[in-house]
Amino acid sequence: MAKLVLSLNGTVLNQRFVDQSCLTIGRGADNDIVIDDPLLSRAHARVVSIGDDQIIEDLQSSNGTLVNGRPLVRQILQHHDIIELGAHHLRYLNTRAPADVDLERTMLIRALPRDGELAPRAFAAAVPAVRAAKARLPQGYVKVLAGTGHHAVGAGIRLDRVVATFGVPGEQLFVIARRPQGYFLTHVEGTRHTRVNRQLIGAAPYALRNGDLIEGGAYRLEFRLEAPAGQE
Amino acid sequence: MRAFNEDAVAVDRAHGIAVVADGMGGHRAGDVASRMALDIVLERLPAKVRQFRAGARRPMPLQFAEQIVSEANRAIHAAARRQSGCQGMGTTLALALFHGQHVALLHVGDSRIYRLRGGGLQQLTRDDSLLRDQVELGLIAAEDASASHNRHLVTQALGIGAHVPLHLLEETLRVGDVFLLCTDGLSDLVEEGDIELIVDSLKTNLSLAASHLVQLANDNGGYDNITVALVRVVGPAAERRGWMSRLFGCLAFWKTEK
Repeated sequence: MAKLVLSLNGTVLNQRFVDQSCLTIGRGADNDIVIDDPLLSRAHARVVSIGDDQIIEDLQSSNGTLVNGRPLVRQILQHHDIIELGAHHLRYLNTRAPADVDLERTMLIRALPRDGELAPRAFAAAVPAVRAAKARLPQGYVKVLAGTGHHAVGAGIRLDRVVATFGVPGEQLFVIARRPQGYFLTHVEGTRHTRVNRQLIGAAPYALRNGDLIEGGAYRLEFRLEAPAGQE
Repeated sequence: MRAFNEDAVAVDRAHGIAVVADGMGGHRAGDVASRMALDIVLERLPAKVRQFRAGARRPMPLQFAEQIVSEANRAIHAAARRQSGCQGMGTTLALALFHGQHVALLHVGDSRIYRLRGGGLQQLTRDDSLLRDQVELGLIAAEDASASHNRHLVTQALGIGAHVPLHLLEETLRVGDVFLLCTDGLSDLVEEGDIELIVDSLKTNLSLAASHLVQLANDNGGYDNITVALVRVVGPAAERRGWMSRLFGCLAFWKTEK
């Protein structure tokens, strides 16, 4: 169970398990966590539990609430977050590591109560994916040596998205995938099979190396792992 | 580490059926639940599809698909109560049934159905998940959802009750549409823009598109099983008999080794 540890100038004063769905914090005696600090409002903030989340909300207090030094209105707490309330600190501890959550994937929980049915709206409110950590990968380019199509001869094309295709869909096409391990070439379609350094590549992805010559999709391209001089 | 796989996927090209399921419940029970859902759908749906193609006006595909998924729900629910070790088991489900110039879509839980049309990807389903509730009720901002620990919590699943509400949707097909059915193992880890780019770029080779999606989810730290099914609408709308043979179905299946 998550817990909040109250301290003042580094000295622990008290602690409280998050054992109810809403914990109120403030100077007033009717709060669940009473902090006698002149900088706090009577009803200053609250911690609301939803599923496996604890969410801290500032209740429009006069002097505000900070988490890890940043003012907030409402924020999902993470293990070791420090909630700053006047001169006092509340440290949020939740020993359930993310890995534990992942082990018990897909579990059932009661839906949140709704006041009637929500008006149907565009699907824009869809829950987005976890943002993947942007790894620092070597930058790959291809330089167009010859061929016709969307890209002009002489152009340098930065391979900065997860996939880039070259050729004509439905006719002759290959794809270069950008992965943490490097860049991989795969033939997508077309009777003329894609070649690297004049050799046919198989069905499996081909790990590209700096200077590789790619022939496919009506292009002849050179693969470069670093920015060619004079280009961005 | 989980050595077994709780996801399941199937495509019945002849009958225009694509379905994914993601089981839940420990000790292989989730595996049992998702497998039951798929078996019942694949066993009972084709006969209804044949009746419909033979000219039966009723029930319509969305109706009989709903009946069969409801039967699957009752069967899983009964098994969960009857068999020891299966208590509390359930499964998400996303089902697409292509018929004529339409597709019937059913889903429960947080498995999703997307459609790519004209280069743009749109999510056609709304997750039965706590996180979606939190976002829609304004309890957290959509951009803060990545900080949530509730990603794996679903609010509905087949098998959790005698009656489970299903989401039903009927869409008109256009030539070139690509439908993607996936479990949360994909949608949790791959941003929609990247899904869109991959499906749009590789839509002429669906198995390659599927393997690139799964690979990207894996590269992004895939922790759950990642299951996708892709269906592309190839032919122009013709008479009912000719239509199904012009649908192209493909699926890819992947199991985490972490």
